[in-house]
Amino acid sequence: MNDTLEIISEAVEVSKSYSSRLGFQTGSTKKGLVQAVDRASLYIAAGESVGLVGESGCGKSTLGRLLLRLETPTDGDILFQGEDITRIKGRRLRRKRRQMQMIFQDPASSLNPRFTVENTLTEAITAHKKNLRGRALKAHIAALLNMVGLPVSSLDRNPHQFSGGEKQRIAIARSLAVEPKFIIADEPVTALDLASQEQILSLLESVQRELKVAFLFIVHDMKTVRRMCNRTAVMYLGRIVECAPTDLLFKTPKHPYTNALMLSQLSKNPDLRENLHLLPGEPPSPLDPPTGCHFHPRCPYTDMRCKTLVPQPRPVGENHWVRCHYDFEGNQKSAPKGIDAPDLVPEKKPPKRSKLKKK
Amino acid sequence: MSTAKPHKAQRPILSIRDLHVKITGVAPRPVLKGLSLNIQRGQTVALLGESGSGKTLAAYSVLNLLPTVARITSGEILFQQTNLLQLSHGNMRKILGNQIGMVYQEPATSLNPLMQVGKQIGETLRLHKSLGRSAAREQVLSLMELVGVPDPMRRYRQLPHQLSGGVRQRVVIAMALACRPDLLLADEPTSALDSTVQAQILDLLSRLIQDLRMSVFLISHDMGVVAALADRVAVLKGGIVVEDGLVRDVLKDPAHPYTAAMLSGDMKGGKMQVATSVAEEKSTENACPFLEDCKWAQKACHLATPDETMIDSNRSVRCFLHNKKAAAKTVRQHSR
Repeated sequence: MNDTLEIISEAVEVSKSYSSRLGFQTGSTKKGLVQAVDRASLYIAAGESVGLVGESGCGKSTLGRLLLRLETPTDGDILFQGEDITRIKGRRLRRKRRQMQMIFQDPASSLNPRFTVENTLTEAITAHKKNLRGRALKAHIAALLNMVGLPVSSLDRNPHQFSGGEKQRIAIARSLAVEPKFIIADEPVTALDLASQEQILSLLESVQRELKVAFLFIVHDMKTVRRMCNRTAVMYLGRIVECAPTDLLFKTPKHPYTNALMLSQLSKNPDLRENLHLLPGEPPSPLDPPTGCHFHPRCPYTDMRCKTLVPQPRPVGENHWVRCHYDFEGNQKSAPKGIDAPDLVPEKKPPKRSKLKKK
Repeated sequence: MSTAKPHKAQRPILSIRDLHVKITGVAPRPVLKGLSLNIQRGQTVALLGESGSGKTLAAYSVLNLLPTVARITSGEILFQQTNLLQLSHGNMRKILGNQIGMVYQEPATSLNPLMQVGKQIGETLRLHKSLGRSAAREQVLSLMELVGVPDPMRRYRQLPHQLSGGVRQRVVIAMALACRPDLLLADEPTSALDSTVQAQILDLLSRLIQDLRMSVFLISHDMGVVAALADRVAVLKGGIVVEDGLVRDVLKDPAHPYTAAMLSGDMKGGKMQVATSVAEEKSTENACPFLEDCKWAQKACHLATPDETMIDSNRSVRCFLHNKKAAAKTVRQHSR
């Protein structure tokens, strides 16, 4: 990590758990603990755009909300521009919030249906910049609309009069209203159709280029990550399993789960349909996570060590670290070399079974 | 399957002919403007289109499940030579779930949340095949095994919320297959799922299609899904099929500019790419649906949408680029 890098937002070993009742059918009142985020560390530097990918329910949105302090972590620290904001609240927290914003997945439900575009933007601006009024306010709003590519005539219209893509533009304008340093985009294009997806992504690209805002993209789609992000973190069941510069992650994924994610992307070439790569099994329940490495029941290279020991993050290259006990070569199926595990004796169950049969 | 070649003599299992569907109500507008599509026995045909293109309305027209605001104004839907649009409600019920199976997009909402999943699968069997309770249960368990539900005995008695998204969709597929339907209608079967689970379900579907020799009507917006499952694809834009052909041909060498744009992901709201002189021309109601975003738009495109041009024995496209004579003729007609 570069020392000169100005880090905007950082999570240091944060965990978040929720308690949940174990089942209303059984009438059980026993409380279960859902570990939504498990000692995750992630930083976003100024002007950088970082991707956070993973399957639904893996805790990526929770981690995003923790970074903005929309949730309070059960353990670990949240830093914003180097300042610890884990426990602050009230006015101090609000002051910090001016500099961070969120863009939500579904613009239809994140915009107030009874507010005109002008109301929506005015509210955001005045909430944080109380002194702006009259002509200055109007000019500010016009500049925002111009930035996101909406005509000024849309000011007195309500959200339902816009298409999905246009609504998302309004939501982006609202997030930019307070001139934030850091924006989290939580699945910003998932609810949109193909053409608007493309437009919104290029809008976000230009916003980032011009305003140098740091972005965290929470997505489940590898294509978006590849296009938008410098660095990418992969999450599986509450843990960040791998984090690397995006090019590197795509070229040489080091975690078997990252590899599986890459290979499960569908090809548009019908000749390649036989190449569909299958990850066996189901994503495990966060109420009852597997022991050791969370990925071990679905991993093709599992052994005893994976079943019992929780892998710790370890560096495997510049700015590249992984939570896996083993090293992998190439991005295709390959066996673990186990450089790190000289003490490990691989189990030899299959040969024993065949011996038994012979007898 | 690529092995099942469409025979000219064989009648298609499902044939949609010149289907027009209109949305009525406050802002009435036509959604489907003459959709035509054939599905041969044993073939998987995909209807590919963006959201709002009317692809789901097309599916629901086949099932006679259109929402009240939508109305079929003309056209025919022939399923094994019977026009589904003229069937009584009772007769339609005999076909749905029996000869036509359905897989919907969102497994969470297409299952009854208060009914054990095993019973839900069995319901179809008991209704259409008049099976007894234990006979149905036996078949359900083997169905669950067929679609790869782990531990069927235990899963049988669970409720939908206790299952993960992937298992839920497997249950929905088991339900659709319960009566061994002649036609399976799958509306975005994997778009609500994560990519690793999506790959599993697609693998399951393609195996089932092959093993059971099913005819499938697949609705999707995702070219990856279409590439993985379908034999033929019909590309829907503005309520008409603009290109129709074998998946291998269409996705590898698209003939219609719209298909090409979808494939390359080059959908930058191409209005700016259109030469202004062309864009300023007044377009008529019949103009090509892709007109506004098309780089190749010419005068004729503003005046009419061309009829299907066969560019191959097995492939048709509706674009003036492939029929210059028609383009010239259209311009002549309108200048008169």
